[in-house]
Amino acid sequence: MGVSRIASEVAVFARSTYFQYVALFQWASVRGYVAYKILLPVDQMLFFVELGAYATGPENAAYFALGNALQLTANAGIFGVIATVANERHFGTLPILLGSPANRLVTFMSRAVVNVLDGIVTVIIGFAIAIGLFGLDLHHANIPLLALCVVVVSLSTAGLGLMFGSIGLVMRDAIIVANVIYYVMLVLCGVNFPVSRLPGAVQLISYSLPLTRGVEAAREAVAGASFGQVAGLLGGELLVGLAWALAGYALFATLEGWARRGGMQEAY
Amino acid sequence: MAMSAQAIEARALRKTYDSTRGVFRREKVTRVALRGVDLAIERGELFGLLGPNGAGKTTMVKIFTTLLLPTSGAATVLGLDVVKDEWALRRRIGFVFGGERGLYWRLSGLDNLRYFADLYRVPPEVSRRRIPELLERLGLAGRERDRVELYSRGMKQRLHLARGLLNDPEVLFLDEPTIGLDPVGARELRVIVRELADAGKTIFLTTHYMFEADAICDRIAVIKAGEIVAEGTPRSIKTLVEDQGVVEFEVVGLPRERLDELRGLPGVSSVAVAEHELAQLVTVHCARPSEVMTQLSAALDGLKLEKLSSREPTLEDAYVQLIGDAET
Ligand SMILES: Nc1ncnc2c1ncn2[C@@H]1O[C@H](COP(=O)(O)OP(=O)(O)O)[C@@H](O)[C@H]1O
Ligand SMILES: [Mg+2]
Repeated sequence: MGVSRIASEVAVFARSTYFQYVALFQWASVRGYVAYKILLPVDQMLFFVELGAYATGPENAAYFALGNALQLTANAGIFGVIATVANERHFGTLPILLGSPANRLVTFMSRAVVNVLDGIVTVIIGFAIAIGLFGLDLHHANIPLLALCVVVVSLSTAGLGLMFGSIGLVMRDAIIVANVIYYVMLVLCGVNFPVSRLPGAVQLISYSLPLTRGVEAAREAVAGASFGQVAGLLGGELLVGLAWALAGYALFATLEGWARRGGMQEAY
Repeated sequence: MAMSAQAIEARALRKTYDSTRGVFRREKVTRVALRGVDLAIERGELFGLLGPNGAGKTTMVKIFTTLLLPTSGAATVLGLDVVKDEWALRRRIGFVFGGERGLYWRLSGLDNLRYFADLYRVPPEVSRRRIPELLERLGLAGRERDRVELYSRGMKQRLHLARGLLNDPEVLFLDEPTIGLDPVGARELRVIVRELADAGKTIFLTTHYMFEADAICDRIAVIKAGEIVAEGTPRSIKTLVEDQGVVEFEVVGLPRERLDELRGLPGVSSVAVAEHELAQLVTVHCARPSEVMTQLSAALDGLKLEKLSSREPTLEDAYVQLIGDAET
């Protein structure tokens, strides 16, 4: 692969990322964006933090606030990617993509980038809410490490999102499945209570989902841990996200072959 | 296999779709979309595939453009196998499907073209030059920064065409490109398509409007229920129904022997008489209505002919005869 070839792939990647951004984030109104980006998270955090603090004591509010702030990445990572693919279906651009000589892996992955960035923004908003409303204290925190945790979690949830994006190509109701996963993650990923309290078999599911290790690492970063102490967790989190992304790509490639044999009337 | 000299070639091309029906007792349904099609289209031809809805036009275009695999038979485009050489082929062809879908409505026309140029691996230095050229040629210059959702139907279709031309394809496939356009928009598009063909592009166009095929195509194939039922120039297809010209008139008191005289005129295939109040309505089916008209006065000397009219056979007559009542 020559340098110019790589340069051209990078250009395609950058431009298609930009277009995904424009296509996705041209909100009809500022109010709509504010509602989506701030009110929804506040709502979700209020619900779980109040519930958690009520059940386990007010001193734990920060615990719930941190977990739920990170969970917000799933909002961007999963629903954002699904929305991107749904867009493709809505506008009927998929046949053009499939009939083009474009590198599939590059175009596929570019669908996630915008949502990773959006996820990072969302978590920052979540943290602001956690600090302002729920007393999350970052005085002892290893801030650069916490930032790294946020980036890693955004990447890994988008990896899972790519899987749902592929499912969304053939299933109109992928969003419903994604909703279920979203709530499953609230329960299983250590957002609202420690994974260690779950039965062993269920923990297996927890650790095959993104978020679980990332939330654990972020909690340690807030407590002042060093990079070395959480490197394993973050590496694992990245690998889980990558595994989901590759599985999503494999599914996409399979669907492309299936479409060529005459299936996928839906998306066409 | 020797490289095909043809731009497009199909041999015994067959496509069946399997689907399931019913929720509880799932039943497999097989629908045959193409039943062994043979076609050869030369480079530089503007070829029209004419047929009613459901005849298999889109299926054929999808196979030629590598979007769909044939069930059996073979197809090559530019000598490349549509099944095995899909990657090489995709760079060298373009396709446009009719209708409004296939554009990012929230992006500008220009951004759509830039994005699709990337997908088609058009080098940036080439697309920088080519995109403005295409916008100009397709009458979109000046509106390229507007969002596509603000475009008229005709503009969207021209943008589609610009998109299909981004990689300067050697063969262009247009699947019912004028569908849903108003007559003016459709006509503008046809002019552009004809110009592209005159500039040397091979074009494979599908349509269910016979006048469209008649107006711009060099050669036509008529497809019905997955089979090619006629193929040739628009003129040669018209000759299939050359006995379908019509001369009609009303006359009072037409004697029987005069009718036989009419039937004896050259090119006349049938004469029908219907009683119409006091007069008789005579319908003459013939090959060359104008010739029959000139001989009519001699054959019916002394009789007063009223409401005399004639009609040459049209491609529409040929089409209707070929398709029969398939289009219902
Ligand atoms: N994806 C599909 N699954 C099942 N049947 C299909 C599919 N696509 C087309 N068909 C059927 O194949 C036949 C030909 O369709 P098509 O090629 O779309 O015709 P046209 O473009 O001439 O209207 C029709 O009977 C249609 O119902
Ligand atoms: Mg069609």
